[in-house]
Amino acid sequence: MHRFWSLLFAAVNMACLALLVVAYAYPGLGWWLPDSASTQANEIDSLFYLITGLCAFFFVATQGILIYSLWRFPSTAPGSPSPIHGHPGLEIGWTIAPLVGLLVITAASLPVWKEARYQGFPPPALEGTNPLPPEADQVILVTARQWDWHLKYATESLPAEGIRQWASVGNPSDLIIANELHVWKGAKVSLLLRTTDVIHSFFVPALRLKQDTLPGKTIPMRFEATVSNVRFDPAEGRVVPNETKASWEIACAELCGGNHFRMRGKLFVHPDRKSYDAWLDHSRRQTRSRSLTAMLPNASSSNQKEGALQ
Amino acid sequence: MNHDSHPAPGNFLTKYVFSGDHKIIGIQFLFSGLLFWILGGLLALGVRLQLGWPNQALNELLKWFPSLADSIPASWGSRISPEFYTMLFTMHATVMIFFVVVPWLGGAFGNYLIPLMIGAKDMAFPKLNMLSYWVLWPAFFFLLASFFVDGGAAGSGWTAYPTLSSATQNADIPDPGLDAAAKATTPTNPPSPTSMEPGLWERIKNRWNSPAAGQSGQGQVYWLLALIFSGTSSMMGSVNYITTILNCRAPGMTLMRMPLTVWGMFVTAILQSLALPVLTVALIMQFLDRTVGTVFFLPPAGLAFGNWQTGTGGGQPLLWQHLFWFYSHPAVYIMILPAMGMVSDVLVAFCRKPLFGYKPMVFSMIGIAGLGFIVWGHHMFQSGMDPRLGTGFMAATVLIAVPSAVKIFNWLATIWGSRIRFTSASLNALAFISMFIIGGLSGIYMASTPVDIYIHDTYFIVAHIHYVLFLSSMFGIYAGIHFWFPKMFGRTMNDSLGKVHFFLTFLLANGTFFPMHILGIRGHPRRYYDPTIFDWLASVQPLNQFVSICAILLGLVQVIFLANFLFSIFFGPKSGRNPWEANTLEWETPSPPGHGNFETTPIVLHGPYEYAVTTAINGRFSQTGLNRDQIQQGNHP
Ligand code: HEM
Ligand SMILES: [Cu+2]
Ligand SMILES: [Cu+2]
Repeated sequence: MHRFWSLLFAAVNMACLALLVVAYAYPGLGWWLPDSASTQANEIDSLFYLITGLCAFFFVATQGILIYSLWRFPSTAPGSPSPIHGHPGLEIGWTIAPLVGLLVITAASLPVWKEARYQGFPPPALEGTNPLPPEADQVILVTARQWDWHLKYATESLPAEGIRQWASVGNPSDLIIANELHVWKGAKVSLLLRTTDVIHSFFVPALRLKQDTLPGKTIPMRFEATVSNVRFDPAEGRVVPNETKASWEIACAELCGGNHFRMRGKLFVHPDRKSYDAWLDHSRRQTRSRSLTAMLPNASSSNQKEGALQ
Repeated sequence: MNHDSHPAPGNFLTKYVFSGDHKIIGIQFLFSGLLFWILGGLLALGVRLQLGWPNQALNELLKWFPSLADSIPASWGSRISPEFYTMLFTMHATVMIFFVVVPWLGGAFGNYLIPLMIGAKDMAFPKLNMLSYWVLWPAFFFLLASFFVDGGAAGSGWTAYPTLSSATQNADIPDPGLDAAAKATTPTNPPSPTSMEPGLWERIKNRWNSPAAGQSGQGQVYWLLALIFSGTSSMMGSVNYITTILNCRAPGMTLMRMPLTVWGMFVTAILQSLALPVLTVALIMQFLDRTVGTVFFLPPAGLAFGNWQTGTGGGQPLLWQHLFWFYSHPAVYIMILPAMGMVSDVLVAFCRKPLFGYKPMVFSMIGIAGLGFIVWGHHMFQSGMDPRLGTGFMAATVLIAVPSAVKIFNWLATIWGSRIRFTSASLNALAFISMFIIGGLSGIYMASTPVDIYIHDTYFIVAHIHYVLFLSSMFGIYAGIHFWFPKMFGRTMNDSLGKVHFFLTFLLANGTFFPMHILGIRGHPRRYYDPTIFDWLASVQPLNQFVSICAILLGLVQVIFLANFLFSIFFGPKSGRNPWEANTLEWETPSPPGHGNFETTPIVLHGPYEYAVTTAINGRFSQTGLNRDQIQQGNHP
């Protein structure tokens, strides 16, 4: 009977581990990381695996010792417990060992964080003119509200010092679309994230991108997509899936009220600038033919879930 | 401390209700915690019902309980509404954190054990102690009442982030633009002022209404009040514990002879007393924002909900997050350090071996507590605070994993070479260690700022918090209840039932919470009413269902524990003073101890963990060196 408990601990821990292994080994199940489609996604995934490797080692070692002890040292075992009170050498050893592992993780993480979040960004404390890093190919203003995303695409090239001005006022030719993020593969995309009401969080799993929107603030963000999933088909006048057949979604990751779960959007990565421009041009002509006021952020119904193209 | 001001109680009321005796107060905390534990569990099952079977949860439920049909609002059809769902998880977390785990660890075990384990007659301030319990009752009132107010109980998460929680709608200003379609589901729209002149109370309540969410009106106000009162209770407890531990120890009970349970409580009390004021201030600020129209959390330009504008502000929503996590990160340690101490004591008593590395264990607790004050920002990596701060917070966060690892290694070394008696108490303690390893490891993923970009606010976090709070703290509490039950009630709980409960709980809790890691890795956001509308989450719905089934069974299995607990109070076999042959002072008193605890003031000669002593009669030295139970074994208290 005493062995039973050791076996139980072994079984439970092994089942946990097995679930992770199965989820990893059978991508067809869809139980693992979703497609990764940005430079940042690849880096984050590598870090994820690095941490998993170190954690797996620690997990197997500690649970192994525990399970073995339960097996080996029940009260029915012969002999008596050892009267040892401690061991300074061991204490030092097992303080330093995890510290080293953790420092490795930190050293690997911080450059990725820096690159994702602030390298090349003007300091946010300076409420200067341009909140974005200079190299942007594309600037998109994302305005969140209960319960959808409004994306404003600039159709004319923007002077760097005019970006704040553009974010708050805009140009008549801008395209405003709900819940569709269009970029092209390799474009250095800059996002400006805002909200009109409560905190939301712009979450694009395939890009491993997540950033809260804060009332009263405009938060810059950037990414570069590495895989494309659609192209614009001029004949049909819409975007069509390419051979990857990948459908990438946008979600809200910060509780924002009852319909928090319904802030669903889509990510469209065009193969190149040409396809993107064709889409942009087409959409702009289409929406201009509708009433311009209908596209102002406040007027469209919050039940509107898909953008102009669906 | 002077104990004369605290005479033995006379009548029933002063003995069992308005008692100043720490043991009675501890048991009062234990029982109120038990009731809220049931409530919190049911709320969690509501959440799982919805997630397992989105849109048909109630159909499933009605199949089993047709009699419920009348109590479900017809407007929902067969669905739990999304707003109701936000209420379910908000109140589940609020109840479990502030009304179960904190009162159980600090209130019940802290009160019961501190004086007994340090050889004191009672707490330093018995009246304050009594007050710390009774101040909880207004909290109970507001918490329970909030379920019945307009709009329902709070629904902005246990973290209550503004502006979802704090935005108000000034009822004096007509409200032309509230988007009718979006707001139709929220029953809190102020009654149109023309229809009837509202009374004063109506007008006040209308002022509280929120344009952001129905539950952020009166429900949120009550939530804030409930937390302010429960925080006041914890604060009173903390100053009392600190004073008691510093001033009321028996002769010879040096700090470095205190059992780890007392160390855990001591460090926790210090954490509480330093961190709680910050939370209280934040709660009061949000309360003022909600009720009298201050703008601590309203940004300068105000907010727009549909076509409806709030007034201008001047505050900062992010301020709340800093204040909240400045308390609530230490709070997660408030919810584990006492359990770590208790588990150490239980473990040693059943391993019959000295605790390995007493000093490192104490210093790691202090280290965790100290570092715990500079890591709050790890909850805010994606919040929009200056990302460069994330770097510092990450470094501090990985450092805090070191003392956690040190504790694990010392527990393992304690078990190594011991002779373990497998009892309900020791099994739960062993499970604590095994599961805390998993919870600690998942913490490292989130500590890594870039990985946290992806897993923040996904089910990975939910998995983490349940591994540390359910599979660790709760298992520590189970261990503690089995272990100290004989002292509290003079009887022992049934060990076979205890083992059955442990076996099933251990399996089912892992079945419930481990797959949540997979959900999180897939990217499943937390607090989602219906993930199935997303293509990329369709594949994990079977896991969600599996989790829900395990959760429901897990809930059912707790009935075994409850039955065992209640039955044993009255019918369990009588226990002597020291059924586990443990060394610490509480076991030298009768079970249950009388008023004033000790028949004679104990004089402490040894540390708490002198087991496996070959020269001692019974292989151990109790802290007084008396091994009194050997003399008195068999003679009933
Ligand atoms: C090895 C030690 C630990 C590390 C490194 C760690 C790290 C973290 C991090 C980075 C987060 C924030 C994740 C996010 O929101 O993106 C977090 C959340 C959390 N942790 Fe831990 N943690 C540890 C131990 C614990 C312990 C011992 C407890 C409680 C007993 C705990 C309870 C929580 C809770 C309740 C949350 C979530 C709060 C929420 O957003 O609702 N953690 N942890
Ligand atoms: Cu949301
Ligand atoms: Cu934390």
